[in-house]
This record gives sequence, structure tokens and C-alpha cells, in this order.
Amino acid sequence: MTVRIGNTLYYIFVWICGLIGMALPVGIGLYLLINGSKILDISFLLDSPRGSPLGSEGGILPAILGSLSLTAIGLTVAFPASVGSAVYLSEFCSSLRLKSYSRLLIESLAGVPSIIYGLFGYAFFVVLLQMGTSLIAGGLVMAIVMYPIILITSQEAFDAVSREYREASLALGIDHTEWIVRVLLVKSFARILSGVVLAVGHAMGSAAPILFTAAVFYSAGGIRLSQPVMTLPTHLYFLVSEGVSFENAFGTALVLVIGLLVFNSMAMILRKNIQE
Amino acid sequence: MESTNTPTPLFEIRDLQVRYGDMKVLHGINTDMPAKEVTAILGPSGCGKSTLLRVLNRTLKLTPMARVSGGTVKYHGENLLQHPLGEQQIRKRIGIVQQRPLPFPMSIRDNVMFGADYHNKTSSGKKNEQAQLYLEKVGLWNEVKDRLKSPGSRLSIGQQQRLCIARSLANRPEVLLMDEPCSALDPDSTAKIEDLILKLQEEIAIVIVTHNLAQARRVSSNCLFFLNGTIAEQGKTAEVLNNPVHPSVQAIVMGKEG
Repeated sequence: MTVRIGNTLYYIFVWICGLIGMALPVGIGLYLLINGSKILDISFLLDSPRGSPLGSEGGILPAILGSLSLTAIGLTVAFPASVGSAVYLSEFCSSLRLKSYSRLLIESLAGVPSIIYGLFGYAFFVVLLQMGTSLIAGGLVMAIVMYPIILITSQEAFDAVSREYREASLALGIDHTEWIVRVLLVKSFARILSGVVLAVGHAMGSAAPILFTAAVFYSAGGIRLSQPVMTLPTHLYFLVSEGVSFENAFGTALVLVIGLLVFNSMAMILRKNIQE
Repeated sequence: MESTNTPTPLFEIRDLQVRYGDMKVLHGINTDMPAKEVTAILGPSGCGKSTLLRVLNRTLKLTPMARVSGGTVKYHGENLLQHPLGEQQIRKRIGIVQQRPLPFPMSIRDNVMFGADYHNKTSSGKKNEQAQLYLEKVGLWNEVKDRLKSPGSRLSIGQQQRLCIARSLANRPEVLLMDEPCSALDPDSTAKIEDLILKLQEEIAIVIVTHNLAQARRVSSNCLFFLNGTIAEQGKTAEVLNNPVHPSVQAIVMGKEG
């Protein structure tokens, strides 16, 4: 009898937890949709910020382009670097001590608050390397934000490919590169892609790393590596902190979330195709 | 005087010792293995049967902390462990089929040609021809000829194991090592693989690790019976399994143990 009551209570508890898990993203999504959809139209997506104060009217096109450019630069640098590091740690590093120390460092790096990345990026790229507040400086900071996330998931993906596959491949007399390129990377690609989705989501939504390195409140010019850019999260931050327009802020947030959803969905479709 | 022309054994193994870290798993193995015959390796789990296959295929070093700690293995009269052909060529010539079928993440055709293509760089047209040849050899061609471009992982487990055998055969090995190749298969698939072994022995030497005494009787002419990292008995399969001398081997063969 007591066991039955315990089971029922546990069942109810698990149900409530499940409901909270579902309700939280749906609730936030609906809230954004209700508040953001009022302003969201084609001109909001394709126009530049206007009005007085600036941003109270017009759209967010420069911020969309800026965020996409920063993410693209970050991913272009971080993806090969982090997957390459994971290949080294999984396939070539024979020292268990070095592996465990590097794991600890990388996990710590992933947990560093993003404002610290911003501060480092400002001191190193903007001041020391004299890149100035620019798309390239911000893109490189984005790469540092993405690097540990993709590295950790890549390493986990490689570890999940059983040792038997390694033996079966190398037992055919092929070399290490062939095994890595044609079997290990292909077998792990779906999981690595999950890491990329996580990293892009994390980087695209962060304002702190680019606040000192790449972002400006208004940029009328096009996208140039040496010039600062507008980005969605920093634009959102300015709109709210300066009390410019809450309506536009919700619209910007909704675009950011939809962008991430579209990216995640594309990655899911790609992952499914690869698995098949 | 009449000359006795005894052929050199394919493998001559003398006092072979293998360790995993501090643990000794092979304690001085001595045996010869003939060419173009099937040799079965029998014995309980953990007695070093698979380890011996890894030594012969030169993949032992892929197992962390494993090393040959003593003895010699000769292949065609030359030291296998430092063979002038090099590790990759030895692995090509002495192929291995694992216990669990492991199709690679590529099409059925590319799976078959994976190793062969690396070693011979076959053209695309020839690749199809070669893939057909080896798929026919393992009796899989009729079952897969219409879906050569679909992934190898979509085949049944029995078909996957035959695919893995075809992949090893496409490397044109002189020896095929098989590590319990039927342990995950149903009786029908097992029968197909046993038929294949009997056919292949006309062309290549086969060394098969198995727990199944009946299978050893069906497919092998010679057998090694392993116990605790040593060979307890060896000889013609019928002789070893019908009249075992070692008490533990007797107990296992009579079904009192293992």
C-alpha cells in the first residue's frame, strides 16, 4: 500500500516536472510572440533603425546582418580549431594526465562568464593587436566562446564511437588519416553538429563578448571586417536600457529567437539526413 | 634417399607472451599454423584467444597497455612483429573479422571496397565490378544488388557480418582471422558463414575463434584448445575433441564444464 502511494506521488512529481519543462519554453515563446508580433513585418526586417531617439522607428536589418556575420566568422574559426583539438586529444594524445588536465581547462573555459571573454577580447584584439572595435575582433571573440563548446561535444562524440570501429578500420591496413576522415568524423558528425547548434545559440544570443569588441548602437555602413557592427543582442540591450522602445525590443528578441529556431531546425534536418 | 618436402608453416609461434599492463594473458604459446587450412581456437572466455588474433594481425598495440613481452612469431619464416613489409601491409595480408559486425558509415559498395580502394586506388567502374565479385563470394550479391548505394548499417546483422567478411576479402588477404564471427547470429546466418569458411579454405588460411565445439568440428581441420593463457591441447580437430587428454579440456568437451 505504502509502495503504491509512493509510486503515485513519484508519478505525479515526474508529470509536474515534465509539464514545467514543456511550459517554460512554450510560455516564453508565446509571450515573445504576442508582444513582438505587433511590430514584426517585412519593413522591420529590411529597414535600418530610424526615429528620435534612434531605434524607436524603422527596422533592424544592420543588426541581423551584423549578428550573422559575427556568427559566421566565429564558426569559421572555431569549428576547424575545436574539431582538430578534439581529434588530437582523442586520437594522438597518449598522455592520460595531459588529457585530463586539458579536459578540466576546456570545461572551465566553457563555464567562464561571457563578460570575461568580452574583456579579454577588448584587451587582446582591440587594444594589443590594434584591431579596434570591429567585426573581425568580435568574430574572433565569438570563436573563443564557441571553441570549448564544440570541442567538448566533439570529444564526447569521438568517445562514443566504439574502440572496435577503430580496430576494424585500422585492421584493414589503412592509415590513421583515412580512419579519422572516412570513419570517425563521419560517424561522429551528427553529434558534432549538436555541439555546433549549442555553440551558435550561445554565441548569437550573448551581448557581453561583443559589447566592447564589435558592437555599436548604430551603423549605417555595410559589413566590413575593420568596421564595428550592430548586433541583435546589443541592439536589444540598448533599446531596453535607454528606454527607446519596448515594442521594438520585443520585435528584436522575437527575430533572434526565430533565427535560432530556424538554425536549430536546419541542423536537425541535416543531422537526420546524415544519420540515415 | 627420399627427401621429405615439408612446407614451411604459415605461422610459427614460439614462447609467445603477452601482457596487459602487469597482467600476463598469454604465457608462452607454442604452435604452428598451416596455410590454406582452417584452424579453430577454442577455450573459455578470457583465456587469450582474441589476444592471439590481435598479435597475428598486428593490432595488439591498439589495445591500451597491451604488449608482446616475449617470444617470437614467424610469418613465412620472417619475424612478424618486425616484418619488412611493415604494419599496414601485414594487416592487409592478415585480415580480421570481428565478433560484432561493424559496417562503416558509408554505402554497401564503399564498405566492401574500403580497404581495397585505399591499397589499390581502384577506378569507379572497376570498383563496382570488384564489389560484385566479393559480395558474390560471401553470398550477399543477390540480396543487395539493387541497393548498393544504401548504407551498410541498414542490412540485417547476419548480412552485416557477411559484408564485413567481404570487406576483408576485398583486401585479398592470405589469412583471415575470425573472432567468434557467428556469436551474434541466428542459425541460418551461422550456416551461411560456415559454408563460406569451407569454400574459402581452398584459397586462404582461416583461423577462427569460437566457443562452439560443434562449429569447430564442422569447419576446422586443426584446433588449439586454450586454457588460462596457455595451449592445453592442440592437433587435428577430430582428435582433440574426440579424445582429449587434459582433464579440463575433457570436462569442457564432455559438457561438465564451461
